[in-house]
Amino acid sequence: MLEVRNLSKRYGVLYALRDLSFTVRPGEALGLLGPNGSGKSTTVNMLTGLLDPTSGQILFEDKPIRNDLSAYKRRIGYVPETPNLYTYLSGREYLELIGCLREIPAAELDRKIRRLLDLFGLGADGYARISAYSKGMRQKILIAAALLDDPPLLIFDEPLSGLDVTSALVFRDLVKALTLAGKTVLYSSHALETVEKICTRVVILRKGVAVAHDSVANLRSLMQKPSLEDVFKQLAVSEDTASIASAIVATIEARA
Amino acid sequence: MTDRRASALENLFYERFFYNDLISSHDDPQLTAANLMAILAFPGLLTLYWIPKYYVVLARAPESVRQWHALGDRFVWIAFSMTVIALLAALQWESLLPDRRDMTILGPQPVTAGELFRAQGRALGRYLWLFFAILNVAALFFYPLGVVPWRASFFEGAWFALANFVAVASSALFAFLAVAGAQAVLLLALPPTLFRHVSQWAQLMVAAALCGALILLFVLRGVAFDGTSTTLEAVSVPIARWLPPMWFAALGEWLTRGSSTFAPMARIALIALAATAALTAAGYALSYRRFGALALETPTRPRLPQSRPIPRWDRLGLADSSQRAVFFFTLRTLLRSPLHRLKLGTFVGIGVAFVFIRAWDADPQAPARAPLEGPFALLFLCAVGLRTAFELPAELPANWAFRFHTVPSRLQRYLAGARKAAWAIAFVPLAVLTTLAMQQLWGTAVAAPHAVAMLIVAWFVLEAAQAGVRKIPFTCNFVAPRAHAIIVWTICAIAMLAFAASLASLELWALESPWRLWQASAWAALAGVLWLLWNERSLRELGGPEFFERPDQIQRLSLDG
Repeated sequence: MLEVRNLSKRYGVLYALRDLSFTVRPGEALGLLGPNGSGKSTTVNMLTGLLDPTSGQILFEDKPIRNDLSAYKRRIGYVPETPNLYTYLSGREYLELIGCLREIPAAELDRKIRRLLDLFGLGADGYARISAYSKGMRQKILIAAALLDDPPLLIFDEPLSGLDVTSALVFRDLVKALTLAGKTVLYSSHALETVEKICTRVVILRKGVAVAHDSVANLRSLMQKPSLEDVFKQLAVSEDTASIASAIVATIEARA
Repeated sequence: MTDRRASALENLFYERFFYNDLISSHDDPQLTAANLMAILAFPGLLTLYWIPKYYVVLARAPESVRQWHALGDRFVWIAFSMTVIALLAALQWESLLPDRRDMTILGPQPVTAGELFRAQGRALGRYLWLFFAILNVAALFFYPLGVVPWRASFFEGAWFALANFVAVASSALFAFLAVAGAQAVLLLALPPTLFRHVSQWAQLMVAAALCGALILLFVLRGVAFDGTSTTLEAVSVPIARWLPPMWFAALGEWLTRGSSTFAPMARIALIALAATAALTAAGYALSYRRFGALALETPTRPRLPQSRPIPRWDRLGLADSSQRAVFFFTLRTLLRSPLHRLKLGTFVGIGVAFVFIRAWDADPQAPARAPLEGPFALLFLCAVGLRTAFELPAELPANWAFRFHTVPSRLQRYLAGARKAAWAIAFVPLAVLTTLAMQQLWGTAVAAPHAVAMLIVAWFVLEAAQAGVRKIPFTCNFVAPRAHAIIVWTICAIAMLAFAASLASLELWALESPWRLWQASAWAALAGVLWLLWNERSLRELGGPEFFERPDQIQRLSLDG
């Protein structure tokens, strides 16, 4: 179980995240939602151990992750928001690198890489450099790398970015299958529709503070809104989106 | 195309030259470019020595002696200027053609390939003109001041300065066109996919050769002018015909004096300039549009060689997967990242030039210190080059993979992987090549002990270079360039000379008898054991890998007093 207790991150006097608490149980997928600058990436960076919290605790299987960060990292699979990869390596070489760093036995690694590349439709491009990959292909490599070591905790930060419709549908089913297999999944995204379909509960952040934390169904009935998107609009969006859109159209149509 | 659009495109390409990874950092390209300009302007000021030389040392010398010196000085300066301009062109190799990004961004815009070509050409002209001016401004001023006799009229002096300018400028143009022409030839001869692969290696070879050429300049004047005493003799020796700086130095002399002595060489200079210009223009005109289109259409995903390295490398001491991960990462980064390749290539180029200088007149009858120094100097430079390249992050944003997946307790295995990669890419090939050279020169009696000596010294150098290091190559953020870089590099050069000279002397001493060889080996073994014992203890205290520079290593301005 992943447990976050009163997590805060402060830069100088500014809070990027304040007093966030939630739990994610094995076999559960938790959605982390929020507009840009709401603290989602900060949360994910702290959950992956890339950033130290200012205060609060993160526990995995009842142990603070900072007690043995490297053991914790071995148990996470992580897909970052931006596809930062060593682009001069081939997809296969990148997966080999990650597999070797995680000390996956050579024969098993070789078999897994071959199979994953085939399943992600990258079998033929496995030996091409990542610099030549499209955004979707890079994303698939990141997903494959996250799953390579069969980790019990998976953290996905905008994993659908750049994926085509078929791959996105496969990914949705993949997350469902992973939760059925007992994995703990944290899913940070702007794609509300996807989150609504695959996550049992959601945390909505706004300006670094959790404004909602409940199951999607409960939120919908509490807020009396038909969809998660409407709940999100109510809780996290302060701007009048329609008037901003009208203003943009008016600006581009204006003649000097 | 409107002037505004043309100048916007020109500015876009011009600024991109300064955002080139190979000459500037993304963080502050203007500052790095300014530093580069300051470094380039500095050698010009050294030409001040010409003035006292002509007015004091050569004041009473016959006119023929003064002219011989003037030709030699002009030759040296032109050689330097040509090498630097060619090196700058080589560093901008990738920017001479439109890339995929250009075509993706500019392709959908209402801009023709011809407009792009002209804008890119104008931007390149501006860039080269700027660096040409910075590099040569002092020399173009001081050289005529020294060489033109004080009795000469203003008109004669001005004519001399103009002729000198024409000679230096045309030599720089030739140097640039030679590099661009090489690319144009590759462009015409190779299909686009192959061109992309070959082009990167060609850039590395050209840049490394030019770095080596900068070192060879120290001996070039001797090679060209030793054994001559007049300008006629200097331009008549057979080797002069093969030295482009001599063609352009002769062009300058011919323009100044109109003497028939220099006419044949001046003709070669003009023909070479016209030929390279024609070749480059034809190459680009024929392939620019094709290349631009193909940048988008092909080779979307060129395949790397299909290797099954894991089982094979198990047998070569890479059974541990942490070692293997860092070994292949290090090897692949050095081989594929242009910036890292060029960094290492620069050091290797300088080292190879040093080897040539020291082995120029090696005696095949008996080994001597000078030729033995070369391999040790090259080894030293390889170690420094590797260390410098390792310090530079490969792709800073991608480092999360190492921060995320590495385990502190396995630091030693990661570092062992890096060490093995250094052996594989630098030290083993170096030992093999220098041993073969020694075998050819002096036979097995010298080559075999030399091979052992190289391997032992390489081991010590690598161990020393990695002492206290906690960084996995290419994964740490980097220290800002230091203000006293010139002092550091001067110390490094002195250290290299002392290292090479002392080890060559030791090798020469050991080669004199088998007993001495055994003695030297025993001392090396003892030092090795002591080092291992000491290192074993210090390694335990190191902790995990380091990904951020320690605060005390970051230089601060301390403006608070």
